[in-house]
Amino acid sequence: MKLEIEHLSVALEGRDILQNLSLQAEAGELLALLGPSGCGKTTLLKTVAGILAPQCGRIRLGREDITHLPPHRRGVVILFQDIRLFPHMTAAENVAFPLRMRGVGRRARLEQAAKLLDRVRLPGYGARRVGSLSGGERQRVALARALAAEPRLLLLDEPFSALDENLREDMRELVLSLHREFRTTTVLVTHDRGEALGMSDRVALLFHGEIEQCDTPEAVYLRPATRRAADYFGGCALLDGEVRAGIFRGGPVALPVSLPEGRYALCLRERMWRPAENGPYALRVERVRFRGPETAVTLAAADGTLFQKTFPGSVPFQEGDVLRFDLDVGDPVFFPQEECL
Amino acid sequence: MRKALFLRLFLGLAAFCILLPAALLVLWSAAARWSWPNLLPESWSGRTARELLFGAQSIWPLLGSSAALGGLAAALATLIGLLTARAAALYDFPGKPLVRFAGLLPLLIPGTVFAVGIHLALLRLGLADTLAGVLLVHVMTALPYSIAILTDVTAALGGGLEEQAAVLGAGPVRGFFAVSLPELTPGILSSMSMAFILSYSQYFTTLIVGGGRVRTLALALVPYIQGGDRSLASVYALAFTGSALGVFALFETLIHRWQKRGDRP
Repeated sequence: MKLEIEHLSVALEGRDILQNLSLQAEAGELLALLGPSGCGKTTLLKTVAGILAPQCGRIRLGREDITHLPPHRRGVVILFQDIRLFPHMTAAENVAFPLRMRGVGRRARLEQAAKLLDRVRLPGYGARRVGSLSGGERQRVALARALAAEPRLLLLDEPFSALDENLREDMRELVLSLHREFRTTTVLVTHDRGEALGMSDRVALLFHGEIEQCDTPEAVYLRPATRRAADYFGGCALLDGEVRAGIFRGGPVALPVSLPEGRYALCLRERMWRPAENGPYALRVERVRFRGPETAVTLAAADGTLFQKTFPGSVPFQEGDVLRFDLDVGDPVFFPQEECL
Repeated sequence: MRKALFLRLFLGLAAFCILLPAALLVLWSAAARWSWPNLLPESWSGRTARELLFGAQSIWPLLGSSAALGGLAAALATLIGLLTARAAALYDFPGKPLVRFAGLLPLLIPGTVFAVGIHLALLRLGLADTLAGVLLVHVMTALPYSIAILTDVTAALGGGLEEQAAVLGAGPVRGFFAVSLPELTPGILSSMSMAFILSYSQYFTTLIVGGGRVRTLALALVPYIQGGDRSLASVYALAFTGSALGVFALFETLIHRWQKRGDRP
């Protein structure tokens, strides 16, 4: 079901956490909410679920305004980071809990719970006590329990951060396959850039309580809307420079552009540097760091500007060599610079 | 090794301080004649036991009224304590530190001052010399302990499970009973056992506020101790400590059972 958040502001203990935030998740979409810790991601989830009350703004699910609905009537389920299984119940009783709240009989709900446990690859775990489960198993029980509620909207709060790296990949695949199967509108909160880009249909970037950019993973990564967004994703160097008479000049780079005059930063990705026999740019090899599958090389332009570039495998040159490069910026991304910076 | 030795010494000392006087009570209660310097009584008698069980001041109605009063006070103190604890541990509101401090006030005021003062207040309210008045005072005496115990366990559990229950479709009351209450049960039982024992052993407040109309075991016990009949005093003291200990053991067993329940495979 489509989620629409309009002009939402939330304050906790007198401190503004979210300011005039608007965001949409299309029906059936998996939207990643990405941002550094403390940016208000969890607060946003709790507000959407009804655990926190907003100061102003509106939250709509489908056609219904749910802003003032109590949490148990919203049909919005959060899978919390700390899992929160009910410790006095078995795995099956946990999964059956939302069904019990809906008045489903014991036998029917335990049957349904067993099916869902199968679905999250925990067959036969129904009678297990929560305390006897491993971290990954608990996470999957919690996922099955969330699905048992048949949520109109599923909110995942950093669901993989408590897991080991190898388990994490498994869980991501499981969540994706369940999402493909159930098509529940899902908001995944994460601070892991790769996870956000790799799992979602769209990524919303949240900084300091405001949405910085919301677009497809490719667009968010390749065409960051702001300097902050570009900085956050990394993978690009920001080259400060100036546009005069249709030419951008910054460090060793000069490019014809169609921008009004002023100061800009060019978002320069390492793959834009192409080694070329007769390329116009001569860069000196400053540092070579072999890392196994790749080699990280630091290159210096004549004016001292440094660039990073990784080469696959080992490299045939060494520190001190001068290499020639072409610069292919394609459709370049520029950020206007504010005066005070 | 050293730790074990210290533990043994401590346990031995504790046993000596508790079991020896208790053994003396048993001996005295069954002694017919025990004069100095004999180590043991010269003759035995069942007089005190008969007096305790079937006498003019037999124990049964006293036990009944004390237990009923204690049970009621424990239930009320725990209920109020739980509500206060939830307010203090899970919610923010203006004046919260004041409420927490006010909860501890009955502890800070000396018992006699408290009893006399509250008696005046209850006289005005028309509750002096009534069971309701005594119950109220016992609840007030137990409340600081109940609030302290329950605030700790409520804060330790937090509101997380109820939040989870709410988003899974449980209303606030249902969420509390379904997911928080089972986790709070050991704390609730601790609070009830504490409140019960406190009410059970109240003497001065019961005497002043109850005006002699509300009879409890503790109330009956004291005149015997002050009177000259050591044997009779001993048997009532034994009955009092024994029953209190019994209730305590009952609560401990319940708590233990409840906690073990979570470990079963």
